[in-house]
Amino acid sequence: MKREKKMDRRTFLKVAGAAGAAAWISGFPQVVRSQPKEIPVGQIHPLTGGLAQVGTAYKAGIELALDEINEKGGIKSLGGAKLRLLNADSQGKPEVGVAEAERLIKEGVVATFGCYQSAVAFPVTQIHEKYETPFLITLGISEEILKRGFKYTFRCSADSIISVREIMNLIPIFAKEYKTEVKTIATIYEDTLFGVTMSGNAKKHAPAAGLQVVAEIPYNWKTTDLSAEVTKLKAAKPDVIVPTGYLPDTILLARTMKELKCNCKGVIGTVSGGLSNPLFAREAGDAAEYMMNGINWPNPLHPRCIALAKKYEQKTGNPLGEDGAYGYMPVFVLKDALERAGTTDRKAVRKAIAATKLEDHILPKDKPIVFDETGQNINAGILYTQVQKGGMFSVYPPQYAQKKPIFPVPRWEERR
Amino acid sequence: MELSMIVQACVSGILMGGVYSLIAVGLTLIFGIMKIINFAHGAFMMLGMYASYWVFIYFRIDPYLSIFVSFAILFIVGILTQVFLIERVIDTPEHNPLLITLGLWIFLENLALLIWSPDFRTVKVSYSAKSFVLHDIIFSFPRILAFLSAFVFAFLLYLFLKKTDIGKAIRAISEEKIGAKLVGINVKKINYITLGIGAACAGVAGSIITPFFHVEPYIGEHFVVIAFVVVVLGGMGNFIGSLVGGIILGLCEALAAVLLPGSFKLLVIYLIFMTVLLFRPAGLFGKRTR
Repeated sequence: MKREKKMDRRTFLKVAGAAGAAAWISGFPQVVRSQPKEIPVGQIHPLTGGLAQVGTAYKAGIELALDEINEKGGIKSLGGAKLRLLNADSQGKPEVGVAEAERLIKEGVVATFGCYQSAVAFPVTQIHEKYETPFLITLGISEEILKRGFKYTFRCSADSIISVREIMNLIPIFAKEYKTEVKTIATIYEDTLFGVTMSGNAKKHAPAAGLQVVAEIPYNWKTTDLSAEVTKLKAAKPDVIVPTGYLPDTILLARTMKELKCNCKGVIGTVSGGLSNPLFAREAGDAAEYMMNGINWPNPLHPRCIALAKKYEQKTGNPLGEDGAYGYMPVFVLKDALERAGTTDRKAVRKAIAATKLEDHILPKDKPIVFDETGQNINAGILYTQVQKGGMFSVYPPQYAQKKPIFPVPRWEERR
Repeated sequence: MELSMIVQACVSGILMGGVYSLIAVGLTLIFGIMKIINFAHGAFMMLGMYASYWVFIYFRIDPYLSIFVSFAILFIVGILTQVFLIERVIDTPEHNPLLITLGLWIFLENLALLIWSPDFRTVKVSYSAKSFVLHDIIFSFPRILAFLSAFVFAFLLYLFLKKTDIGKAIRAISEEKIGAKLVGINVKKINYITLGIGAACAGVAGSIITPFFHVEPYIGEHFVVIAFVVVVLGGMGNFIGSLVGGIILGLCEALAAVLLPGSFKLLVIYLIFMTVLLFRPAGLFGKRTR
């Protein structure tokens, strides 16, 4: 009994001491202040798991933007307050993304950037809507995300309907320009919200472009083998193959296509996360050659983008692509909104973001970033990249092209 | 549905199945002897892949020749795991070793992420896309090599288990642990060797697929589930069962992908898993009683 009493007091002191220290460290009195020296912003991307390479790239883009903003004096209308990044790892899973979103919001973020995967962005934006916290999509292309009447979600990148329609319309343009007949396409896609949305849209818009869909082949992006799927693709004999996937499965797809000699007039991805990943050409080797992708890409000829590309390559060792650029750009949308709002109150920030008219950006389409009532950037646009001689270049539209497109592509048997 | 498509699927399935067999053999060995479910098996495979990758980058040695390197490295990793992790919980309730291997899995994957970054890497050998065509059916050269390597290795392992003293000791322990101790077999030492060999199997399996599979820290996850299904299919602890089970699963996976719509092949794999567990829990080759 005596011993218990002794521990009681000690335990009490320990707990009190720990609580006091915790309160002091977390800056408890600061919560009461209204002019913050630091503005917390969050990011949710897959930092571990099979998509870790891409998630980390987005995070790098966000960090470069934050460094740039903070070095130039932070948010001037808020007394030079700097932006501080709170990290979250979605692990590539929607349920983890949701848990992390709740955590970030509780920790007081003014806005969050994310999620790369439509499947994760879909529920995460819902959480942000519930807690009335602005969410800026870095990437999450499914049009379903913005169809729910949410007020707090904004997307700079092009959505699935616009991009797929443009890609479908491009195919007959190429066919005419390069004097080759293209009548049929086949879609091969990963089976989460992303791939399903893209291939569904392709099927919808193909007839208007005079194209017939001869095969639709879904697969799980974590699969270890695509031989059967590519066999089905070969059997359908499409003129153009339209893939949608992530990096690991796209590498596997390219290699399997080479192995099984799956020939066609061209491969044009519908915003495939794999086909435009800067690592794709390196890792798939010559199996990646000539593969094209319609994708959210930065304008490679814009001087600010060229400067960013240098910094990005220094930071990550990889060339700048969709990931770094679309991690970078939404941060400036937030900065611009914060400057105009002059407060960190989330409702006011949301209003400011909705009123955005940002002209200084590195995205294609030279018009400013303007959001419609659903939160979609009405001036978003896509470019087309193609792998040529192991490098990834923008090839279309001509005003953003680094090289000319190659179409139709040589058969596997004829390639060296 | 052309016949050639189905035959092509069968060929691809069987070739991949050989790799599944090898991974599963390691897993079943560990389970059969030590009654440990090794969740870190996929991570061991990943380490084997990185070993082959780095040997290829620095010494330009082909992965099929550097199998010995991954074998050696993973053998040591297996022994270290046994000595420092599993031994400490060997006589505690069964869930403890399981939790430890689970923790090891997470630890190894994230260690790889830290050291080698999440960037994908590939071993680019000159023959990675070479293939033979026979009557419209394409046989991928590296996959044939992988299949042959898997079977040669499994065969050597089989001989080891059948003919050598250590091999016999391993089999003795799996059948009757107390009796083995009574006749003087050093169970502790055999456990070390067993985990070493089991890990080495995973490592070698990883090495032999590097010519046609990219390398990244989480690559093991893709194969772990399949390995477990194969082990259950073949009977836990049953060597031949895992070999045959691997081929069967590879075949089912490929046929499901070709014959069924959508991405049903995963569903088929899990269905096989559940059916076997429900109706024949000892596996296709396991003993009825127990």
